[in-house]
Amino acid sequence: MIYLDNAATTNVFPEVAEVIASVLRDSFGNPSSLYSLGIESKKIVDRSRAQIARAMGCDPSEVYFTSCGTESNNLAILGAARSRKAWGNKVIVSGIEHPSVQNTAASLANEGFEVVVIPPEEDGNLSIDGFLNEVDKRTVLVTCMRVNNETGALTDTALLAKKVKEINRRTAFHCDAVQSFMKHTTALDGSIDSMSVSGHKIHGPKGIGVLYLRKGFSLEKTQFGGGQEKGMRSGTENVAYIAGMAKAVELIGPVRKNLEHVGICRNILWDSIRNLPEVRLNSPESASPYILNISVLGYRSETMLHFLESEGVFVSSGSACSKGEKSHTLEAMCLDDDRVDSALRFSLSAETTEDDVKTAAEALKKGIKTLERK
Amino acid sequence: MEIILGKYGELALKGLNKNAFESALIKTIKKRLSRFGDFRVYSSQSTVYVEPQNESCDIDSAYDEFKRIFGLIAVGKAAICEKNLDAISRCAVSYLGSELENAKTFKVKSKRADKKFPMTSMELSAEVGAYILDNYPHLKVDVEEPELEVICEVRDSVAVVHASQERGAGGIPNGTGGRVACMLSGGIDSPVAAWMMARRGCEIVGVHFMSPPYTGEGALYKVERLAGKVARWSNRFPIYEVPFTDCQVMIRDNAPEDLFTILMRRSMLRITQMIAEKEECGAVVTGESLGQVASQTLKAIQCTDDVAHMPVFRPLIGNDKIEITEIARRIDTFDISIEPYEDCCTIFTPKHPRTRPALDLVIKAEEEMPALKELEKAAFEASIFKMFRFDDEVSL
Repeated sequence: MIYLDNAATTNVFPEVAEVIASVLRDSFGNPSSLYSLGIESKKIVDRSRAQIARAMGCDPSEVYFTSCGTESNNLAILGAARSRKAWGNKVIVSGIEHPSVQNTAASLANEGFEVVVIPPEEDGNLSIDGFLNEVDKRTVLVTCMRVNNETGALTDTALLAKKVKEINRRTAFHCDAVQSFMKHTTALDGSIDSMSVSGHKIHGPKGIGVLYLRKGFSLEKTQFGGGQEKGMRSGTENVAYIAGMAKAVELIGPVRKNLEHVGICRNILWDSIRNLPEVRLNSPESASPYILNISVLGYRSETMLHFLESEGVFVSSGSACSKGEKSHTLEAMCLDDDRVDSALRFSLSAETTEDDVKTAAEALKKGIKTLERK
Repeated sequence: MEIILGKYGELALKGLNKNAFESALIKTIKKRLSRFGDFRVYSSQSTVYVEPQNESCDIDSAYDEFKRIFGLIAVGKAAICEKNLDAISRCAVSYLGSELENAKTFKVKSKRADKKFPMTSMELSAEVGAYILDNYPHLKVDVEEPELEVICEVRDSVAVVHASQERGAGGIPNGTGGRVACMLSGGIDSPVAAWMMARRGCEIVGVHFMSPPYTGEGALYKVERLAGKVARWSNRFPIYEVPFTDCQVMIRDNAPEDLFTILMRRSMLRITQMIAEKEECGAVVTGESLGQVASQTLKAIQCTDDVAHMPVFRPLIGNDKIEITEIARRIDTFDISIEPYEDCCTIFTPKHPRTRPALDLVIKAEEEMPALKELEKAAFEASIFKMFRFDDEVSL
């Protein structure tokens, strides 16, 4: 099996699965319990938090565990906007955000916020000036993803955050880093207020996420209960998955080295299909090498996807979250319907080999030949 | 090139022994920053310079660490350039570009350590200011309350350009103040007291009393993390964990209930002094603040100190809780201190402890427990030693 849908989810590292199993088996105590079994669990959570903080480049006290990237995005966006309602009501989001951001922003619109959407440029990139032109003294929140989940479009969110703060230092800045965590660095140097990451995009388990909240950043909580995670996210800690996520962070290896390797694989893949007359590149040239979005004109995404599946190659049409729906990122880029309907996303991981992408390219060529309308 | 600067605090006022303080300071800085890369550390004219030696130096993390170095009253990042007007002006505009862009008002302040420099401080400020205004015409000069202060210092070999500096850790360098034994309960006050003594240059040794099975792993884990947090400032913080249950049980079973707390405090002080002697400490430190609880009234402190044969320092004696809390937040111990685990001080506490204990009654009660001293010695001997360093995982 050649798995090239790592933006949807990744295989869990065997060592991660082992850590999870051993915590479930041996350290089942509630971290809030006072006896040693509880303290043991608390220590696991603390250690994992420190490990993840180091990888994110922040202080452990700024790391909050949630159940997934979607929850992190919801908490950050709702929390930041609502707690700033007293002085402003404008929320700025990019037009290529993940549904967990877009739909959360839409719900803010129902609460009376003015939601401004910044469309991508023709090439799929977001323009920093496009955001900055909209930031004013009533802007409570700007949110932008670091790497787009469909095209891999890269935005320098640390720079954007800094510039937003230069216009209005009270504006909260949220970054969805689910697709970039451990793949591209994002400086947490005081400008970004909150940032979401997820465990299962980095060979950890599904069901665990992290929200970075800058020390001193205030936001309203959206979940009420026993006061875990300093009251920001009540609910008994998922000790096993927290430990599993930390293990994945530890195992995945240095960002720069992986980026280099994935860059090589991505180029091999693109170079072997770019000259096919049916193939168009949907990802921006400057995109993250982890994601390659193309269209094979005249071949419906799902048909090609299933052909590739029969060849043992797994890719997706657009994002996995939207199931057969049309890609909203590609639509936002104003691509023609035939481009959107024939889009395929190859998403790589540090585990992808050069042979994997060569085989995938061959399978695609075979698909074009086999499925050709005679 | 971006460098880190630190200004001496009261170190600058030292006389003949200034060198000893300076070398202790430089030694600590080198030790603490080494894990962030290869830095050249030197001092000149009451300022410490930290210069990255290559690209792989993590200057941001190093700066973060630098803020926790005792002996420096103000810290900041700066750019160094050649010492001529042209270079200084260009350096100010390029290094402080984004700050200048965002400010509305500014002023330039110049200092000349090198008095041979061909311009006076006033002239230099005026010229650099004019150059800045040429590049950022939106700015206005405000000498009274500028939003941004651009500071140009002409030193012996180079010029240094920076904006206003931040508060440093203060105090005097680690290892210049002798050793002290700090009683550490796990509450808010004791880590702050230990930190304050470390800030006065003391090497600190912690003494924690535990009462198994009535206190658990949680209290110990708490103390260990607190020690780690304080060690981030003090370089290291060794801790003795003293099993104290037997002493407490003897006092509970054999002394008047309302004297329990004061007898326990005396017992703790005696054991702490044994550890202090072993560790060659010159004083005991506690986190007591006058009148905070029954054992911290003037009378109670008199009764406790009756057993002291070395100085007992109480750096928080005159502080309000809110002031102590502020420091606890600054040194990052507050969130740990408020975790709910019981410590030994809350075991067997009487309903109505005596707030004005009479010393003769206390001594009499103790005389009726001749075996207590033996138990104290046994507790001292059974204590467990653990070392916490500034770069331990538990500290981070």
